[in-house]
Amino acid sequence: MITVQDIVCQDGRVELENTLAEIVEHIREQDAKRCRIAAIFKKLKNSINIANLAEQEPKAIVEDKLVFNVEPDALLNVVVAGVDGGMLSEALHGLDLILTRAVAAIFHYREGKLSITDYYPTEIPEPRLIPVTEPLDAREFELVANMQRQLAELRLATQVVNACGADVLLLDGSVVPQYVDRFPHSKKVAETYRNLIVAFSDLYEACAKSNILIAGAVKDSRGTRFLDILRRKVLQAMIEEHDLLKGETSTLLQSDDLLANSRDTAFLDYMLEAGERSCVFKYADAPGALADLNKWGQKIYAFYIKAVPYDYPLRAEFVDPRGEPTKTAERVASIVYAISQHHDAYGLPSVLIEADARARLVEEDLYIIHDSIIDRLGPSVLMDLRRNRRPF
Amino acid sequence: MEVGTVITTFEGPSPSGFSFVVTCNGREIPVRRGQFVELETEEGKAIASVVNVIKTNRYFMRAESVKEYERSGKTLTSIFPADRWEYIIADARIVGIQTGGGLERTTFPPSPGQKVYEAEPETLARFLGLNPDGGVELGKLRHHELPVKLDLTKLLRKHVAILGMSGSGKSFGTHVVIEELLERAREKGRVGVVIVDVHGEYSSLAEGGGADYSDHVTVVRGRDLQIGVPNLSAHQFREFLPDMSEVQARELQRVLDELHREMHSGKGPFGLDEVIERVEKNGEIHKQLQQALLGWLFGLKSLGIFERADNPNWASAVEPGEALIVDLSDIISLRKKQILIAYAARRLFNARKNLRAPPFVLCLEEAHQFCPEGTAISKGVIETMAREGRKFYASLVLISQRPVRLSTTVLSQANTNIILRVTNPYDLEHIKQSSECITGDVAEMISSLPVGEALIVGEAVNHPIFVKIRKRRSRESAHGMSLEEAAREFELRSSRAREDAKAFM
Repeated sequence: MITVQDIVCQDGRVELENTLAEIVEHIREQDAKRCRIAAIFKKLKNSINIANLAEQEPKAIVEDKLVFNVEPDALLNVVVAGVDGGMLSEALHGLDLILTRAVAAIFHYREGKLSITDYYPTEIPEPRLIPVTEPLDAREFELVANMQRQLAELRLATQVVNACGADVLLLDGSVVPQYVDRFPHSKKVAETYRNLIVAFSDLYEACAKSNILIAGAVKDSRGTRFLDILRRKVLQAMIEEHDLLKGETSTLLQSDDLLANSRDTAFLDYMLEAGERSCVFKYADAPGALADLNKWGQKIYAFYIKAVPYDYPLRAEFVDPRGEPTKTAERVASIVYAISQHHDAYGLPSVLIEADARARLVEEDLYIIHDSIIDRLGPSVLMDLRRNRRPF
Repeated sequence: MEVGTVITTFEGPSPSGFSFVVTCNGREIPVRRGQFVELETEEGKAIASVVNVIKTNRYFMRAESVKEYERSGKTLTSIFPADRWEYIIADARIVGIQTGGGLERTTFPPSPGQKVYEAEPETLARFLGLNPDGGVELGKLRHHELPVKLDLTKLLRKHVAILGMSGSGKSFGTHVVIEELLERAREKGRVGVVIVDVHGEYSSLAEGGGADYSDHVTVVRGRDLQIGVPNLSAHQFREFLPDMSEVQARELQRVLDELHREMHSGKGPFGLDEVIERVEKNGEIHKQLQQALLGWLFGLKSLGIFERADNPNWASAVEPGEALIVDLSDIISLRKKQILIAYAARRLFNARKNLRAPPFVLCLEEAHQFCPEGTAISKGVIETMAREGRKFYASLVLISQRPVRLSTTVLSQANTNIILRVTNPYDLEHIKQSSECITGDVAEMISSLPVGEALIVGEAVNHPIFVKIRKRRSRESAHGMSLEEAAREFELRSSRAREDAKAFM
């Protein structure tokens, strides 16, 4: 006998099933379209000349082709440092806790092989506890926690540059702060952000002074800037300047909406082959963008590189202090490709995989600190939030 | 030396065991399975045995990733610093707490973070109940530089079983025990040793080429062994002839009594021929009974071991600190061997009970031939010795490659087991059941023991230990020759015989 509850449940299942089917269909459709558009770009990748695009200075794209082959570095005698950080946070009643740890893995390559590995400051450094007593709201606390993690990474990276040296310094993530215009101007948040800007500038300065290339590898980029440039500045020129088939022209003409709603990596996954990179483009070209970084704001560039066949392209960002973005990009791409190509379905620099493993914090680390505070305060002091004290 | 730090796992630390992350300190193999470690606990210094050692490395945890990264032909270690992620975790079982009064069980767990150290030799010797000053040294404790010197009383107060498959080193181990007994100083207390040598392996003790024990060793060949008929009662005849009836035994005893009287009146000792003659001439015995009795006696006579006097004289054959090797290698008949050993054992045991013989050890090679689970002429007396020998310091050392065929009564009385490699599952199971100290883990280790290593369990040690048996001091017997050598030697001997025959013709 079917009960009322069963009927509701069955109805719910049908609805979920329909939604899943719709999602799958949508993904397939979008992918097919992206694939068709990318195929046209792929076909023309060697004949598209983007050097003379009608755009105002400063130009968004600094190279003349959309796609370049990357020659992997032979790693004969190269030192690559990778910096990553781990962070855990816990909100308590009247106090918030942040635990951060940053580690640098420094890989010395000789004759194409990893020969020596150093760590800075140590293999597994002690995490740093940061208490936050200001009454931040949940979003502000999350921002502060993330900024503290990044701050730890940047300060450590600067120490590595000054103390150890390397040919290339890779950060796990972007080489610019990601919080512009995203937070309210709370005192604590603003202060942390200011510190972060100082830390970025210090790092850029230190790298420039030591002649160390600094780049960031963004694992799961959500960026859309490349497609934005493509859509606004390249697409029309392509249609006008190339002899396309009728179907291809209509595909490109109808592509604007799709490209506007796609992430760079989703599209470039079809456009790039393993061992190729996109052209270098400026990180931002809006007048006020990266203004906090002052002179460095205009020296930040990015490109995408597909290091392995079955993984999305990797976004690489770098600072070019000498005004030679192509040359710098080639060097960065060559190193990143050489140390990211070993796993067909996971294209991330090995030095960052190692740094990530060293920096990762486990929940138990935070529990120990939390329990120590509670122990010292005594059982009568209520610290845990209600959501963590449910009676059932 | 520090070997690690106690860590928290789902199971522990608990009062019975803990795991620890191993500190390498530059050593390639910092800790081994079976090694003893020590650590401080609230209850005192605890001794633990490492029961397992596990290596872990996060870079090698996912098969598909390892395969993928190494597909290019590069090793994972040339891409990542994988070796830096290798951790060694050891599981240890707490054996006990060393206290003034001896060994006590732990009732409280050690703390996570507690440092674990290699067990100190002195602590270990005390904990294991060894006797560093005057013990019987069998070898070194495996994974430790500790000489295993077993306390003589603990070892031989009851009985010892030396078990292991063929070629595992039983005889070698027995030689070591015997050497130790022969080398003991008078003031340390010496026992006599009688070795029943089925394969003629022990005669080398009396030969040169190594440490010379010839002054302390006497060898009696099987063909020279004699049973003095005057020393036998009808009951003992019945032991050799289990099917002899009560009535036949009674009639035989009458004849024996008569011959004893004559012997004491000056006629001298008598042999089996006299017994047979007297039975034949005795008109009082029923004809049918007489024929049966004569049948039994002729049967015994055909063995050729019954004479007017014993050889050797068992009561005086055993001396403290000396060994008598009874070499039975030239006797093929199992029955004959059993009769000889049954007689010798009884004579020795009685001599010891009457204090005419010193405390002694009877080493029985291929013990399952003399005291099997089934029937055997010698089984009764050996079982008696196994049960009662403790009171008189008459100890048995049972050496066998088939423990499953050994008498359960005898094996259960062996309070110390020296177990060498055994792979037969039935024998393993039998050994496991005979000692509560042998857990599944230990039994598993028995089957993979290398030659020359032994597990010692029982009264001689407070905890089962693995021992690397020391080298023999005496010369090794020729049984060590290869098949090729034996085959060559046989052909050479045959051709010589043929040539001699030809020359003679």
